[in-house]
Amino acid sequence: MRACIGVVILAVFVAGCGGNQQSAPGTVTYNCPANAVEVAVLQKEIPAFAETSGVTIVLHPFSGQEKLYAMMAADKAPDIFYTNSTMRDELAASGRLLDLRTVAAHDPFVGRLWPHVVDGGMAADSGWYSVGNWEFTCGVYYRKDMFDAAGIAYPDSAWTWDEMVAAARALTRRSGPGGAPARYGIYCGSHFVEALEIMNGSRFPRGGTRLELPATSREVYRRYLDLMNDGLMPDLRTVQALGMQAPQLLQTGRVAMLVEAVPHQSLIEALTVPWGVAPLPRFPGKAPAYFRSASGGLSISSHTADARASWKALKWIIGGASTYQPNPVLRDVDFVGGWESRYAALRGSGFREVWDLSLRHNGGDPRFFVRFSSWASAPIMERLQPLLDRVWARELPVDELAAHVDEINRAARTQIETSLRTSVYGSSFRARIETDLQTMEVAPAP
Amino acid sequence: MTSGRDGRTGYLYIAPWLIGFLLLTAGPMCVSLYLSTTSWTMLTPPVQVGFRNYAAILTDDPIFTVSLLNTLVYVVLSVPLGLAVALGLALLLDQKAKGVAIFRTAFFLPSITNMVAVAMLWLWIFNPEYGLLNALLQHVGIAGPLWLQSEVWAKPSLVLMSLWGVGGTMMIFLAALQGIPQELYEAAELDGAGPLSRFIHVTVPMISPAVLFNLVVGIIGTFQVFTQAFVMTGTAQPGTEGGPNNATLFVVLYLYKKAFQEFRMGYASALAWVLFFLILAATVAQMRMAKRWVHYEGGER
Repeated sequence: MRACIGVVILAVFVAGCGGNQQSAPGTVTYNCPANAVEVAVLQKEIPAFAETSGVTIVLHPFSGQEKLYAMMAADKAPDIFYTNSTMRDELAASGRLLDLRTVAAHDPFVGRLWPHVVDGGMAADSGWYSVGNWEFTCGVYYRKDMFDAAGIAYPDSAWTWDEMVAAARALTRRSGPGGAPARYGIYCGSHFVEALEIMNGSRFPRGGTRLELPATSREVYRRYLDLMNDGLMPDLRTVQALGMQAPQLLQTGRVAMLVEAVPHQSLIEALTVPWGVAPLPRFPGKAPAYFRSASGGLSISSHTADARASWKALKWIIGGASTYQPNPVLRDVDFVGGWESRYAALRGSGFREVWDLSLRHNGGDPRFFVRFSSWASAPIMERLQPLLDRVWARELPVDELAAHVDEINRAARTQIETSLRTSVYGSSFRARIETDLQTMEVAPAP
Repeated sequence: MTSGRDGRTGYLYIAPWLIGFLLLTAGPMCVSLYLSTTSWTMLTPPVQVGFRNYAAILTDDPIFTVSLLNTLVYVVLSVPLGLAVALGLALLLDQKAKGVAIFRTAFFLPSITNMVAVAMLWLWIFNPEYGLLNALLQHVGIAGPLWLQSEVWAKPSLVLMSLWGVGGTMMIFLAALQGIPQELYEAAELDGAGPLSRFIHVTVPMISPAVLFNLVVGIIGTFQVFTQAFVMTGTAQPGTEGGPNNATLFVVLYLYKKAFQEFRMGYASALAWVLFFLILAATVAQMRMAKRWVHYEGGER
């Protein structure tokens, strides 16, 4: 009997101990997006890549950040996986990412990348830890038929905020019950307000450790809230509660203009009405700085068994796999032409102008979850987000939000100090965090 | 007295459960207790911090306080309401009417439906424009609120939704009601007791053990509310779960965010243990108070 129990326990123990998933040299595991179409296309093309490069890619579709971290904790991370700027510094500081300079030095592929894409993958220690695998900007999609019916000219590439508000006013239809708008002039999700902030002159250093809310940002918040106060834009909570996706808002005619990502594949595929896209409106006297995101990218695990094979695979994913081509992170491809040939509706829509402007006046990615460093992002966001909820619900005046900035920065500072005490970071990162702390001039707690 | 051979056979029978308990429950609990005294991001080895995580939670974490208050409000609203509705349904279904079995099944089914599926259904019910609830309210001339997007209505919405799952509680009440000897009602009736008096003086005392069981299990369950808040309040953007303005940030959701969005495993483990002790305290308090109002057969209180 005792032997029986022993065998059962042993069997359970053995079953619980998985084999080491570290890949063999020449074989690279890729934590690809869990998108059935992408996976199918990649699966089809991987054998041809293996034949020419000698590198076999094994796909491990992404199944959650928790699982990826658990795999890293067990030293079984996939060789290539996606990282965003919020997590990348922390992973690099903990020695989990390969510094790509060790495998990419003198590789002509680096020259094919836009310089800002390379720069976007650098961490606080000046190491290169990720390669942006996609980029997008944002613009104002509009219904041409509604502009025509209202007798308004389509927006041009230099239109201003006031012109946009005037157009929104002319396009709003208050024919709903009790004079409520049956159609709103515009909708802009709160996650794009940061794009407007940089258009109004706000500048945020990447990897910042403190929350900044300059006067230029506060002015944008007020103007944004005025769109709702004036009934030109639906209340954010209503749109969220409706659960409507951006394409539905424009397609069903609930809004005449919509601020969204450019390109936006599902939007382009869903729209059957005549539409165009314009750049974000300018603010008087301000140099244009258009939103452009290369904040996330592909990284290689520092535990990879074959760093060169992993680098080869990463290059192929970004520059070779057809599902990601033409890839906007590459400077030697005709990205706009490629998309225009795939989607005829893009021709003459304004897409090329929007894209070119964002390249010429690249304002970067100012989004909250991007602009803070790994060590400051969580304590800032968990305090800021509820306050922003109240601001967008028009329950907290913008100036009162500004009054919370010092308190939020104090909390961030406390957490960074705790992290320094209790985390095992590389020395170059530690030095950088300590420098950041010294420069954090936060008012003392009352 | 049990023989050695019988004892071993008994252990063999319970071995699958015992092994599962040791490996999948007791083991992780011990690890989490250890982790609660460390700072661990999963990327580097845990660093011992003693009781600093607990101190931070209890003295220096205003967001934990918010999540605890939200949880307490949810418990206070949903447990009594859930018990009342479940008891009401059980009383209705404790009839010898034709087709009552169909109704019993119909009321019980939602409680075994997957919570994520239920949450998706209720997202539609709470939809302010074309949702069922506001459509009904509109018929009686009331403009419905924004429900989940309203700081005021978000918690009551989830409480309302929790009633969907009272089927299990209802079944326990139904079993208890059917166990009440008919003679007690007849005796009460002879003494001139009306329906309300019979309910208060016969039914309630006789089902009080079931009430206690449902109360304890209900409070333990509602303290751990998570899925509905996670699924239904983070639809706008990842990371916004628990909104608006943290109105639906419950302790377990906060714990989840710390553990699996910020990867502060030590802090999250300490949160889990704080919650465990809160639930333990609530349960012990109920068991102590139960001596005053729970009646067991044989007259023992």
